[in-house]
Amino acid sequence: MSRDRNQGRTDDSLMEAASRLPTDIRPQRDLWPDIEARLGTPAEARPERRWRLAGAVAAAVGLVTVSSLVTLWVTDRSEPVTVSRIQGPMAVTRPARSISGDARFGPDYLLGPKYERARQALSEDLDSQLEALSPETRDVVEKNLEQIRQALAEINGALADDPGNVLLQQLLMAAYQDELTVLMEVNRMARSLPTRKEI
Amino acid sequence: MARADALRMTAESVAPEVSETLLVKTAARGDAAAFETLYRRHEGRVYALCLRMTGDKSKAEDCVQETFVQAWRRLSSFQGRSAFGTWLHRIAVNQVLTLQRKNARHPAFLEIVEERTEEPDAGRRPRDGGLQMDLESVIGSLPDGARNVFVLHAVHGYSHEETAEMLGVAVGTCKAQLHRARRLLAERLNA
Repeated sequence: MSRDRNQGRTDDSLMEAASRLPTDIRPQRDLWPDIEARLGTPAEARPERRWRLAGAVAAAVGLVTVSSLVTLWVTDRSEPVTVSRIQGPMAVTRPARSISGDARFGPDYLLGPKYERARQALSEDLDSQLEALSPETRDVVEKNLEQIRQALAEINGALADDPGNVLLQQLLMAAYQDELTVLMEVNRMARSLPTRKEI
Repeated sequence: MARADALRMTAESVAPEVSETLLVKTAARGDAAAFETLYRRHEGRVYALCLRMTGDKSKAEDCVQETFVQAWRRLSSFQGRSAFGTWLHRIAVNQVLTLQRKNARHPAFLEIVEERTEEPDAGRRPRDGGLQMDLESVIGSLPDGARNVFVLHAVHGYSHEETAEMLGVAVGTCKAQLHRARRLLAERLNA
């Protein structure tokens, strides 16, 4: 009887120890290259679509990284932007930067009215807000916005080929969200600066 | 708030947001990049299963490769009724079983000899802190049938029904193999 109980305890501890064994063990070498070499292209998948998707993914990841860094850089600046820079020569010669056109979501859809209103409201005064920033900050923000728009165009182009692609839809949403984040940051910074009247 | 969002929106933090369902759908349309992401997410779990079931690193690597190649070919048939990881495990188990049948290194009579014979140099093993480490090594010494059931049920947590289905055996056989595995493990760990 006692032997049975001991046996039972051993069994329990065995099962408990087994359940604690790691269920995720990484192979010592990278097996992916060998696997990838054996992957044929499924008949239904067009190669150019794959490349476009890969390009769109790369563009989206790139823009998110860049704009996040920019946003961080912009918001981390502790020194105030001087008012004298507002009237610098570069500000006068710059082209209009306001966001024009609707926020497209693939070939057939536009983004919702709530988002569109927020985007339009933020972009209305974008030019004047950008003028309030220091030239170097402005340059970075403008380049960043340009990259975002480029990525938006690329992803929209890829979506035109493949409207049902959920990954692309998600990437496009992330890109629009990122655009909105940058616009909000520009807006916030511009509002925090002293106006000419105050000076 | 926007800054906090920006902090989170790094390249590393974007990738995990892509859901598995989305990756599977994208990969099923022939996107190797999406499939690689799936591979990176699941390679560890598939490899762990194959390693314990085969007891051999090289064979486990072969099984992992074959599993993902087969998964790629069959992606369009994945209905999402089970988790993608479970679906991969089913394919992996099939690969291991195929390998075990091919190798057939342990005919039935040898398994019986293994059960009756103690390893001469096994010695006494500690039963507390070293149990898991010992268990890991002793699992590898189990006969194929008992080892397969023990790994799937006790280590990876599949039910008897799931384990039986994966291995293509009756639930009763599964339970019997588990009992056998536990007995052998207890004997060998206490030796």
